[in-house]
Amino acid sequence: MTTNEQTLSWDALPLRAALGSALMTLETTTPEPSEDTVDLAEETPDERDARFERDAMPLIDSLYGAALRMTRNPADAEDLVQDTFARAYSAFHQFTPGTNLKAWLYRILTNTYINSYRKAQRAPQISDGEQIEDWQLARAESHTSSGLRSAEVEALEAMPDSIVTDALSDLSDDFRMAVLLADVEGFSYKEIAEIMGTPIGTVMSRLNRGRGQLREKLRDYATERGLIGRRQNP
Amino acid sequence: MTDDHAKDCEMVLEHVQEFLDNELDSATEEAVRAHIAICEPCLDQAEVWMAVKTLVKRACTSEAVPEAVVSSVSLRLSSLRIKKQA
Repeated sequence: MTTNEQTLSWDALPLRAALGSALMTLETTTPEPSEDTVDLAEETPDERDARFERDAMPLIDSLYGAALRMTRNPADAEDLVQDTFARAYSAFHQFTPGTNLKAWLYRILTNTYINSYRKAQRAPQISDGEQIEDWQLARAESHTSSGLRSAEVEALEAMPDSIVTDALSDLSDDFRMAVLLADVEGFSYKEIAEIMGTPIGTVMSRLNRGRGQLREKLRDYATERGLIGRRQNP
Repeated sequence: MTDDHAKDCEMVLEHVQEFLDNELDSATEEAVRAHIAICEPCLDQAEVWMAVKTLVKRACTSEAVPEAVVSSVSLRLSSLRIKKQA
């Protein structure tokens, strides 16, 4: 029997019930960079600041990317990342060293977004579609003989990033976040459930429906351009 | 195509995303793996969902954080630090 070491049992990550706290501590199976034991009682404020700087700040890239995809505009993304890091810094004494700092930060980011930005969200920016010309038409057309679904895979592989990010923008916030947390950040269902504050069943349904809608939008896009769905091969 | 085979197809289509996310228990994972090894339509589906996952990752990992954002976050944290010390 093949076993997959990547597989995480849903029970493998016991949920620490930080009752009612938005800053719930997340357990993790992947070691964090600073797993060396930190004596929180002995740690001076300066040492804690240094630990925050060393462990949290390097994650700003991926948090900014997530913020950009949530808010869909750079100005809001900058505010969201600032607020997230400010809240994380102030609450850093509540973070348990050795647990999943990235997931902890994502939880703060998600909560901050839901509580502040989603309400005041500006209208999503409309892409001007300038990259539509990027379509690798020749490549897609030269491989259509392998059947409808393989053509779909090839159409997906040739899809310009801007079309994908536009299609993601069209998803509801909940669907989009679930898909991004799973596919961009590689969080497990259990971690996504903790980050989004929902049961795992809800995560699964958001992922299934979110990816389903995405697939449909991208297939429509490819079909409109004659890349798939016209099976009359020579 | 037998009824059993059709049932397996249904099972696989229901679980294919969990399969690709490495979230299935090992028995179900093994059943999915065994089925897609012999069923081309299901394999095709698995490939499409895998392509969707890969595509999302590819399309969303290019944005580097602008220097200005790093500076503004650092500034905000410095002011919090000063406030805390005061």
